[in-house]
Amino acid sequence: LGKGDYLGAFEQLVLFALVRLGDGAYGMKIRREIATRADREVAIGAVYATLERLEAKGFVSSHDALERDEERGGNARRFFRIEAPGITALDESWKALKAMSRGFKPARGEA
Amino acid sequence: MNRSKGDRQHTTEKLAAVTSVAINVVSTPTSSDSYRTGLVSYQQSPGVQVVSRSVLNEIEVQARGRYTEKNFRRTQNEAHARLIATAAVIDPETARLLEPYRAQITPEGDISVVNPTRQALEWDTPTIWKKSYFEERGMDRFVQVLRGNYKMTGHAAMMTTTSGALSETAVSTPPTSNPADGSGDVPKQAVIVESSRPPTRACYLLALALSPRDRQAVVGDLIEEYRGYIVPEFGKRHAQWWFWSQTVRSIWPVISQRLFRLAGGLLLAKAAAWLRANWPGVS
Repeated sequence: LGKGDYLGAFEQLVLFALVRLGDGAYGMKIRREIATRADREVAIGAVYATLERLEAKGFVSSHDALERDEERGGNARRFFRIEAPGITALDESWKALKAMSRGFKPARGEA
Repeated sequence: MNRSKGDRQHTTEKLAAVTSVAINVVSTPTSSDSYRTGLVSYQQSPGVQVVSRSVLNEIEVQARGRYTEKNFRRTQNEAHARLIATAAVIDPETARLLEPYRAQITPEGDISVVNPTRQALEWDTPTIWKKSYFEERGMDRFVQVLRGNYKMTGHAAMMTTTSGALSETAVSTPPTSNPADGSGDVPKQAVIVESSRPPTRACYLLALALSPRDRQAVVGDLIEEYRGYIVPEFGKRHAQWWFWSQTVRSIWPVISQRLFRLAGGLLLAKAAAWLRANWPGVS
């Protein structure tokens, strides 16, 4: 990985969400996936800003849906997909995290 | 009233549909979300066109305990109103129960709901229900009902006995809507879409901050989540707050990214100009 290709914590979350959601991933689903699983309430704008950054790095690709959905006020969805470099980066990042956390015991609060 | 065998069979099938769907709605939900989903599918089910007291009771009984009292009231009020708004046939008993509301329609067209309604649809919270409250939610038909503009179709239908059991009283043929003159049922899809209109100003503000490429996707995602999850789960007031909060929190990441890109571009241009000025050989 190049120096600029390391993933931030939120970028990791977004990429994991993309892996989990597969082909049906779009902004709202990604946001909800992160909110539900990571218990992190994020703004949709932050999700898109991150996705755009990841796309610029070549980790993610996107395409706009052709049909407009009335439930969305007539706006089309943009679907995202994780690409091979993104999977590699996520894998590297995950390995690094595992290596660093080996032997680490989460602190438990006093009862 | 004379009824053919076919009519009776139709009515029986419809009774079965109402009962089975009602039971399905009330027995499966494990959360407020699934209760809502169940309720919406109940309303949209083509076989279910009748609002009857026992169905309301059954849903209410099962819905209790899944909400705090306040949320239960709010949800139940809206659910009942929606059922009435979308039903093709209002059974005579429910129609009779609606009678007290007529006196509570103000000259401005607002609807004041006070304690007498406890007897009717359990709306026992002393509240003024603004006409706009119903209109915003696409409940025009409900407003019509309250204004006394509804008419029992004559095809109707089913009613509850005093013991609460469903029974047949007449030939049951669903009334057909007539789009040409605007009569008939409010389109059910329209009711659901109209019931949750996001704050327009927030949409404009967000659209203004976004690049043309992102505009549709981001605003569409917010609207979809607002309508599909937030309004049904938390109610319209909280949902509007949520929408504004998402808008405000989304603007900074979006604008900062654009500014960063712009600043990067300017910096590069400056550097290129400086290089050209100091090292003429560099192109």
